[in-house]
Amino acid sequence: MSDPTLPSPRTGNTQWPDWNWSEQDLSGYPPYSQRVGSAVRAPHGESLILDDPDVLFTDGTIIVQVEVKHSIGPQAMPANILWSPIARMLMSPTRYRTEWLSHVSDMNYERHECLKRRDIRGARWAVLRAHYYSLPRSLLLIPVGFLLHQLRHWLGF
Amino acid sequence: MLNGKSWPSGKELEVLRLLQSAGSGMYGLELVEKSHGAIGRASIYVYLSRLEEKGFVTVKRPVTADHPGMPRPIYRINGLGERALAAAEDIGLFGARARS
Repeated sequence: MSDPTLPSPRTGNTQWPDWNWSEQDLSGYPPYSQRVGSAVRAPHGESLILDDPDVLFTDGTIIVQVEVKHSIGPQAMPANILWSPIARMLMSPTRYRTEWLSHVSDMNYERHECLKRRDIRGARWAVLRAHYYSLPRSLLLIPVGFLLHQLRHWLGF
Repeated sequence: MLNGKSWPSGKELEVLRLLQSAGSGMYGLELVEKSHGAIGRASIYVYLSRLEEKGFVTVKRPVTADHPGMPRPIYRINGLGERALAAAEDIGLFGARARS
C-alpha cells in the first residue's frame, strides 16, 4: 500500500488511465514491486535486451513496463552458407579462402544492398543464390545419378 | 615463366581481358556482369583463383567492408597478366580460345 512505485488514483497518476484501482482489490493481494532484468526473444528472432523493467504483481495481472535499450537486427549479422563447415573440411585452406569465402562475401554484400532498400525478398534470394552458386557442380551429379538410376528402374531400360 | 602449364585458358584470358579493360580493380560479381553471360557466377572464383595461382592477377583483400561480414576481394591484372594477354592477342590465340 505504501509502496511509492505503485500508481495511485488518489494522486492522479495517469500512467495507466484504464487501471481500476481500489482499496478492495489490494486487500487480499498485497502489492509489491520488483525490479528485474530479462531478455525477450521476439518472434522474428530479434533479441531485445530489456533493462530494468518494472514488474507489478496485483490480482493475477502482470503489468510489465519495458524499455528497449538496444536492438540487434538481422541486418547487422552476416549470413553464412549452410554447408560452409563441410566445404571447409573438404577444400584446401587456400581454395576455401579464395573460392568459398568470396561467395560468402558476395552474398553478404548483395543481402546488405537489398536490406538497405528494404527488399526483404531480394535479400532472401541473395542468400539462396549464393547457396546455389557456391555448390560444387560435381556434387550435383549425385542427385542426378540417383534420379537416372530410379528412372532406369521404373522404366525398365 | 609462361610455360604450357601456366598459360591461361580461354576463359581465363577472357577474365584477363575484362580486368584490363576495367583498369582499376574489379570485384568478382562485376566481372560476371561485364562478361554478359560468358563467365558464370559459379565459376568466376575458380578462374580468378587459378589466375592468382599462376601469377597473372593480384588480389587485394580489404580489411574492412561497408557491409556485414567479410569484405569482397578486388582483383587487378598485373604486368605478367598484361604480357600474357598481349602475347595471346598477337598470336591469335585469344580469339580462338575465347570462342571455345
